[in-house]
Amino acid sequence: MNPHEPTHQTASTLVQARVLFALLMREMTTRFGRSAAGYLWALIEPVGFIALLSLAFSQIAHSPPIGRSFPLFYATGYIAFSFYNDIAALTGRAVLVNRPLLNYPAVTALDTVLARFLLQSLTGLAVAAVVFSGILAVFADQVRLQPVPLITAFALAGLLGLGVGLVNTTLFALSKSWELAYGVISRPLFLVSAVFFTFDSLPAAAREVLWWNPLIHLVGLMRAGFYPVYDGSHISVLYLIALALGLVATGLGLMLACANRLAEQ
Amino acid sequence: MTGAMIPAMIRLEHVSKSFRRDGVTKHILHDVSFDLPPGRNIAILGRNGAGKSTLMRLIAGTLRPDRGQILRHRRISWAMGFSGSFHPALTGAQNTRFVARIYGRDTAALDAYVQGFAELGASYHLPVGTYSTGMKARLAFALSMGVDFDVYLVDEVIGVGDTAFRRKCASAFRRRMDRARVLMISHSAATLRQFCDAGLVMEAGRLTFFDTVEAAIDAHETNLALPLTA
Repeated sequence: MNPHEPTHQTASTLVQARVLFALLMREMTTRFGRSAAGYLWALIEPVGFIALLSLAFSQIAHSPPIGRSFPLFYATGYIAFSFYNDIAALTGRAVLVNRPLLNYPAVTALDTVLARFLLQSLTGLAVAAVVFSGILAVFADQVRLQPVPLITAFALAGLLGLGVGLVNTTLFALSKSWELAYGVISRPLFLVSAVFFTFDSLPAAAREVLWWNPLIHLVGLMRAGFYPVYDGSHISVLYLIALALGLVATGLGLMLACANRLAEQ
Repeated sequence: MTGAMIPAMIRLEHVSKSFRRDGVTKHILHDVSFDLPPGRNIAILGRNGAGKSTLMRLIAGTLRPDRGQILRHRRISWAMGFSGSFHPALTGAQNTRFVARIYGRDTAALDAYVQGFAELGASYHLPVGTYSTGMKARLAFALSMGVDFDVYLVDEVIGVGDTAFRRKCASAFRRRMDRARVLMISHSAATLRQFCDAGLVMEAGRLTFFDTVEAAIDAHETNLALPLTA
């Protein structure tokens, strides 16, 4: 349905690839600057946060809820949470930040979202690889990596982040008050996503409610990927897939329905 | 591509566009199907508020029609004189490289050309948000020459900046017209006669094509003498 730049419809996949690449380059320069130090900052935040949690909780407990390494326990929680959260936050603001670029006929709102999704997924995976291998190298723990839950955790955290981001891309662009409201609603999410506790340790009443928080399932999957002893019986991959795909479909529908308003404001 | 022997450079298929403000709906185009013939330089005429600039932005693709579609079989510029596509947070150089990438041009070559043409000095490496309107217009003009479009959309202004720079723009533009076509909005009949060889008159949501620019100007002036309908 979109303009056929530069000449024919057949060229449109090539054009979309060029646009994605151009947006990716733009996001990289604005996000990280042109020096290696910029990329280093992407590491400092998670490392600092995990160190802080580990230090604080090791003062009040002898061992973390699972395994023996405090850093690994908090890393499994924090990385799962932030991989989702960073993607959702960045893709949600894709149109707000890039709106002038939508004036180029070849650039669509979806392109701006996908470029940010790609960049943040790669950044998040790189950060996760560095953090986990660093922790495992320093703090040997009873860990046996399970590729299936691990890959599922990253894939579904990414998809869920994309879904939430896609829905918000349109809503943020159309409503400033939703942007503010969403900020308030989503802030406590970190506290109720089992980042620094386990789902099993909660009272039954809390479990019943928090089961619906998809982040609980993502964090659970991540821990199942590291700890062979972890009981992940509460995790529903089906729930995550249904929710993520539902959000992606809703987001795409909203974007399509509001395409004119997104470009013209 | 659809049937025609000579493909139109731009084809409008059942295009409708209207704006609603304060409960009043204003129809700019109403179910318009139209082929812009290739190889012509076309003047766009219409009374104030008829939607000439809107039509141009629809053709450029910076506005989407409410209904219908617009097929483009040429590389079409953005409306010259309109520089809203620049990202204020990016420098002139970064905006240039972005444009080079989306239009599939060599980034270094376009960068060098634009930097040379626009004469922005050190500001070329500052965010476009810090530019004056004139500086943005220089950048936009240099870029549109550098990208080498097949069809240029000119909304009132060809040249920008001071007299010397305007002259440079005009001469670059005339040279470009050896191989590129133009769609032009201008209040100056002299400018339209100078650049165009056909005309398109917008009136009450419809487009009428005229084979000579003179006929189009006549029809437009006849329209102006009549009261506005609907």
